[in-house]
This record gives sequence, C-alpha cells and structure tokens, in this order.
Amino acid sequence: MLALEKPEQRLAVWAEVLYLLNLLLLPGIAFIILFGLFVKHRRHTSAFVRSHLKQTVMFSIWAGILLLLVSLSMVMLGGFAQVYTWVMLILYFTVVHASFVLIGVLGLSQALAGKIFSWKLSSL
Amino acid sequence: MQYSSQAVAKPYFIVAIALFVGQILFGLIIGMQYVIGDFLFPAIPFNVARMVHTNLLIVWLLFGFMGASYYLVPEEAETELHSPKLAWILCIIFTVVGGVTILGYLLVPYATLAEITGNHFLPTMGREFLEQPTMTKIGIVIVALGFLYNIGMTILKGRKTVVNMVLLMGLVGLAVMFLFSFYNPSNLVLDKYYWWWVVHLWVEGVWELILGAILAFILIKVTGVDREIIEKWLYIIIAMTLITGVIGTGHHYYWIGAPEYWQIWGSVFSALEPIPFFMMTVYAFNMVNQRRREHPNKPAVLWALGTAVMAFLGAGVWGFLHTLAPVNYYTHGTQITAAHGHMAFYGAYVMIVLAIISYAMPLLRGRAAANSEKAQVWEMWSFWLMTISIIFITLFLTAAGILQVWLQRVSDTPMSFMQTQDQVMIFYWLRELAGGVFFIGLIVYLISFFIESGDSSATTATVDVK
Repeated sequence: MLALEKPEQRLAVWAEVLYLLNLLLLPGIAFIILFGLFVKHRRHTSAFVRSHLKQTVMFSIWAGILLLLVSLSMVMLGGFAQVYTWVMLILYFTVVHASFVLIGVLGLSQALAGKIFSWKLSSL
Repeated sequence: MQYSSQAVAKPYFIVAIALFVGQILFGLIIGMQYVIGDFLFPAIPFNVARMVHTNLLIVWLLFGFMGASYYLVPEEAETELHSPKLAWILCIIFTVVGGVTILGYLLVPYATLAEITGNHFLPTMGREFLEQPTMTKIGIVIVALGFLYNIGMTILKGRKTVVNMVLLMGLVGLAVMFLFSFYNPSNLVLDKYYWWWVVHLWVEGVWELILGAILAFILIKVTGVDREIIEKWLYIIIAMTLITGVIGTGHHYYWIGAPEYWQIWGSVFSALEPIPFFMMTVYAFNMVNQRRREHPNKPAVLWALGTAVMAFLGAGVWGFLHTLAPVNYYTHGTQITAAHGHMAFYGAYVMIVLAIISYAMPLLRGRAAANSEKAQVWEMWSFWLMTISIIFITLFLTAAGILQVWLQRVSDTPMSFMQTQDQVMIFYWLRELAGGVFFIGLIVYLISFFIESGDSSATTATVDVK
C-alpha cells in the first residue's frame, strides 16, 4: 500500500506523520522529533522534502500559537467562570484543531503521492 | 453505463432525491417551531414533523443505498442484474409503503395510526426513529429480502470483488440489525439496549461498510488507481470500523441502567471510532493525488472527497467531542448531540449517496462520462452551499449545546429545561437561517439536473494523467 521506495518520500511522509502525531497523540514529544528532523534535513537537496519539512514545522508552530496561546488568552480575557468564554473556547478549539488535522491529512496524502505540499485543491 | 439493467438505479435515485427535499422541508418546519412554538400548529405538531424529518432521512438514504447497489453491483460483478423486474417492483412497493406511512403520520393521530395498523398484535411502535407501524416494518423486511436476493444472486453468478463483498456484508448487516426493531420488551432498559442494536449498529457499524464500498467504487472509477490498492485500504478501514464501532455501542449504555463497566468500554472504544474516518480521509485524498486519469465529472470527485472530510468532522471529531463518559455525563441528550447528528449524517451518508448519484446519473441519462460544464458548475455550487450551511448548523447547535449544558447542568443555580431553551434562542434562529441556505443549495442541486447545454466537451470520456 505504501510504496515508499525513495528515501526522500520516506522523509516527507515521516514529517507529516510526526505533525499529525503532535496534534493527535503525542503533543510536544512528536514536535521535538519533527524539529530534530527539520534541523537535520533543512538544507536537503530535494525541494519536495524541504517543502514538507517546512510546512509541518511551520504549521506545528502556528498550531501551538493558535491552540495554546490564543485559547489561554480567551480564558484570561473572558474569565474562567463565564459561560460565553466556554462557548467560544470549545467552538474555537474544535474548529482550529480539526482544521490543522485536515491540513496534515492534505500534506500526508501529497507526501504519499510524491508531491510538493500545496494549498491548492486544484493540485489534487 | 456498461449493463442495461443498471438503469433500474435511476428510479431509486429520483425517489431518494424527492424524499430528501421532503426531509429538508420538514427540517425547516421543526427549526421554525423551535423559535415560534405554535408555527403550523395544530396542523403539523412538532413531534409529528420531527418524526417525518428523521424517518424521511432514513428512508431516502435506504433508497440511495439500494440505487447505488443496483448501479455498482452489475458493473463490479460484470454481469446483468439477476432481475431488473423485481428491482422495479420493490421500488414501487417501497415508495408506496413509505408514502402511505408518511401520510399516516401527517393525517392521523399517532395513537390512531397504531390502532388502525394493528400495532396491538405485535407492538413495535413508539420508539424514536422506529416509529413506523408494524405493517410498514414488515414491508421494509420484505423489500430488504427481495433486494438482498436480487443483489446476492447477481454477485453469485458474477465476479466477486472486494467492493461487492463489503457492500453485500453491509447490506446483510443492515437487514439483520433491523430485525431488532421487532423486539420490544416491556423492560425499558432492555428495550433501549436492543434499540441501539438497530440505531447504533446501523450508523456506526454496517452503514459504514456500505459507505466504504460505494466510496471505493467511485474512487476506482474517477481516479483509475489500481483496484488492489483501493481494496487494501478498504479492508483496513472496515476492520477498524467494526473493531471500534461494535463495542463502541457502549457509549449509549452509560446512563440507561446497563452495568457500569460500559462507561469504560464505551469510552475507550468510541474514542477510537474516529480512526476509520481519519483513514478514510487520508485514503480518499491519497487516491485522488495518485490518480491516473482526469475524470471529467468534477462534482463526483468533489462529493467523494467531501464525504471523507465531512464524515471525519461530523462523525469523528464531533462524535469524540461528547463520547467520553465523564463528558457525556453533562452533555447527554443536549443540542451537542443534535450538532453531531446533523454533521455526521450529512457527511457520512447524505454526501456518499449524492456522490454516487453524481457519478452515475449522467451515465444513466445517456451521457458519455459527465454532465455539461454548466450543469457541473451548478452542482458544485450546491455542494458548497449545502456543505457550508451544514457546518454552520453544526456550529450554532454546538454553541446552543454548550450554553445549555452550562445553564442547565453545570451552574450552581441550574435552570429548568424550558428556561434554558429561552436563553439559547438566538442560536436556534441562526440555525434556521443556515437551514434556509441549505435549502437554497438543495434547490440549486435540483436545478443542476435540468441544465442542458450545447457544450459537449465535459461529457467526453476520461483523459489519462501524464
């Protein structure tokens, strides 16, 4: 099923898998491994590898900011015991988290297909 | 269309779409009754309109599944349908039985309907989603048996593919699980326990097999990816579906009087239920990324990808949101459940039926591969209108649900149910507004079927990807 014959493709897929693991199962730990992978291969000769490494690290950082910092700010500004803080927070967190997961799915499918990460659905 | 007997799918699809329109109209009516309590009262009371809304959903999806089966099974089995005549007869019977039942709901008080349909001989009525008179239920069983015979005989004489076999497994499961609707014990705990064998094991069990098979068929057709690759994904997805979904039934047993251990089993296994939906999303995008051909039917590809994404969000994410026992203790039966129900049904089942209709209908109407460019643009507009509005419906209901949980269950001075409803009214108005946009999307969808164009470029056959 996963015919990852080329090392470049394996690397890109690993980056995407670690990005998803960071969001879904091992927050923090998976990011540290991903960041290590990024530091080691950031000057890789393949643009395909660089695009997936860059995308996953960049989006992991954005996910951290938007999911942790913004959520924390919402609680601090809105008040912990305020009902609308929780209405907004739960909706915000669910939507933003799911969006980052879907970006990971898009990236993973492109890595599996040996394609550079792209936002465009037309590139599918 | 490769086999002439596939044409029998067309009436099923037409009836399905007609009932879909009815379902949405009644959805709008009950949405309005949430905010204007006596809207259309006493002509259409809330309980009746809700029953029509949910029953129409189930029936039109069944029509969709049957139409899909009649279309894809001959093509997969590489043989004509065993009996197109039987398929036609069953379509007529099912339409008449369904139509009369809905009229019964609307024209006669429910208790009278139970009486005149002889419910006292074998009482099965009065339970949510299974409100159909016993006679209707027997009719459904007869239709299901005839349908399974027809599909089974076709597969038996033809090629056995993974898609066919998974579909057949799902359809047999659907019929078998429905038999539990005839078991109506007087003990309420026991009743609820087996009621979920129909409701849960349908939508979080065997229906997912049907969904997986239809999605696999469409992906094989529109991407040209090797069947073996798609079949391997399908195997893993349905295995994960059954591993998580069957014991996941436990998330319905938390508070009905079943043993306490279900809180652990239900939580663990239903927390795993998003996995097959997640895999389905990766698989659908992966197959489209690795496609070997550019299929001219763009809406079919869009519906297929949309199914994977929306099923993951609706069934996976929104299901997980309230499935753990400690969370469900607070959220049980609130608008959060309604939010999950709306997006999950739309994402997993409405979209897959619309996907197969989108793929098959142009071929059933004699086109080479797809509708005209113009018709496709209209259909894709309907996709976005309906999909975006269901996302907003879900968000508004979730907001209403969180507020409801807080005011009614978490607060130190909890409000009553009706007081709480007053507080969440704004979200019900917004939901109704989004429902209106959904209906516009549905109208656009209907219009797309009637758009004729001299442009023949889109209707030509597929082009290989270089």
